[in-house]
Amino acid sequence: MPTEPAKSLLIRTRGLCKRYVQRRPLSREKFTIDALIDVDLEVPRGCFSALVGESGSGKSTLASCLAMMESPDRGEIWFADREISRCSPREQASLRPNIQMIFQDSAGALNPRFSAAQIIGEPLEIQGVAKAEVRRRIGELMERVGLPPDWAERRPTQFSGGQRQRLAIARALSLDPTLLILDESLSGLDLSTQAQILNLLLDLRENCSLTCLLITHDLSLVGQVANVVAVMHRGNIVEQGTSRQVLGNPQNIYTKQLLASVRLLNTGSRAAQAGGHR
Amino acid sequence: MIPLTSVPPRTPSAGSGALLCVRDLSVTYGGVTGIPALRHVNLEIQPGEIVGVLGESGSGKSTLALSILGLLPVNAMVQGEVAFKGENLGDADETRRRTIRGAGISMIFQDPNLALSPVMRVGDQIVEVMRAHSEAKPKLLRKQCEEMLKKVHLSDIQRIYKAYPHQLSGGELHRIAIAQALCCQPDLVIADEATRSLDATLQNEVLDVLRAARERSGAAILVVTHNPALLAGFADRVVVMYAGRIVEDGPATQILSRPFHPYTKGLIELAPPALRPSPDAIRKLPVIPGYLDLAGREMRGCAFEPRCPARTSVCQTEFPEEALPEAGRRVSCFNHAH
Repeated sequence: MPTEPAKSLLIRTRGLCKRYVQRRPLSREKFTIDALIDVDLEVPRGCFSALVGESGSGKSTLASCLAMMESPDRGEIWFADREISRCSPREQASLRPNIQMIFQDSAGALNPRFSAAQIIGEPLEIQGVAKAEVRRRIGELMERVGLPPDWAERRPTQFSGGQRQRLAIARALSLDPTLLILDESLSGLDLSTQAQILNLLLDLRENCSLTCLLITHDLSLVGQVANVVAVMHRGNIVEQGTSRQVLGNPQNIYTKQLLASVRLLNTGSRAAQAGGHR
Repeated sequence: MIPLTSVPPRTPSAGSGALLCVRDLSVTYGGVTGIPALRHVNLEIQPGEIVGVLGESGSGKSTLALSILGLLPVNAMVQGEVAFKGENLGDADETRRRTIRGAGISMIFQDPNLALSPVMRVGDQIVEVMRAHSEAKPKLLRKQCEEMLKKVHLSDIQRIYKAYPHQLSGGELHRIAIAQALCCQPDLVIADEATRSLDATLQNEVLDVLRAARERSGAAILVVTHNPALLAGFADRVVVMYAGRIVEDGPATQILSRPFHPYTKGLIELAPPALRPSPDAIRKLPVIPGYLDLAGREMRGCAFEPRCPARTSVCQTEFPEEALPEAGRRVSCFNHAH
């Protein structure tokens, strides 16, 4: 019997399973991949959550299920007080503006023939917003993500990697989402650009009550920004809790291994400075 | 080991002893009026040395790596000299360059999926590189390939040898790319952001394999990265690049703990010194304000000046020549002493 989650949780999954059946190339032989195995994830409302794990651990499959781009084979996904995994396509369409996703490859995610204004305005037009209002919102959104509004006619190729991710964030924000999922969206960026985007997301979280779910393999990033951390390994959530619990006092052996392998820059005077944070 | 077509030095430069010597190298994409990607770069790499090239996207790191191998696109205009074992590679014809690539200098690219052919077995792809530099019989080459696969810590060698790239995991593919780069025992291996898309566990494995290769064959390694944490405890020397120039160069331990250039300081500030589980009061992350503007940057003055927290009026008008603040270190900044 489905149970409604606590009000403080924006997302809660229960026993989520997803299996892919694939065929070997040049062969009829089939094999299965269990991408998600009984996944119970909790994302508190208004928090900066992180989902970490190695490549192939099932992070992106889980994100796709949360964003209703994939249907789970079994289990429940609760978004606020609604169970969304079994919604009809019409219901899903009405819910989609609330859950927006930003992908790793910003160049691939943005139409190269569209201008920045068209990219940001398209979701609004689809939602039936009046043209004058769309134009006003485009300028406002560009300013909010730190892009000059007079760049509205530029194409994606005229932006740097970090600026393209800002553009993708502006498009995602155009529909005033409640949840923003960033699927390895910072992986290809320089450290400074990563920090600029994270600062922008921290601002948005504070000012727009946005809940962010950052999916990443980079634990050093997670330690800097996340309130809540979930660790995935081979399709399972092996540990989840507050950042302080998971990073400061990990219980699972895999989490401990993952933390031990993070490369940190702890040299000279910085070592003494960092000592206090450990 | 493999009886290779050796890459002997043709005109060894007397007494320098450097394996690779880059002198006053400038590269411009798109002709004379195009975008300068490298400007007057000078760099020496000693045999067996691990050198880290550190910088943001657009700083010229990859262009430097590609110009060493002679793999720049046709619209690149090159000035200056790249000498490998005393031989100027600019004077070498394509046949000679092919002899050097693989056997003398090899490269590990960021994405092994793009670097490996999807329609050839990975073992055959490694043997193909060996065959280009060796007259040995196929059976011997296959045996040597299998030995190389063991050296990069791959298990189940028979399965791996016969696998196509899509049948292998990301970590296995990276090790195949490394095995391919090391199979002819090159004197210099260039790793261009080879660990960028890898998770922390795999990153460390790749670095361990490279370090072991240096210890085994004495190969020098040039690691191109944007992350200073990757170089800590791995590189012997760090070269910091900004807007196509080397702005700081010195021993890794000194640069990472006592940087002189404000840009290096900024980069080091970005790398977290420790995992900070302090969610109660999440602070803003440190950033280097602004961004590297390739198209609109001024030719006069210091290119980092618009973003520099330590800029003075002279930085806008004059280019900072290289200073030697300590033995083994060089820096291009008027205010490096502050």
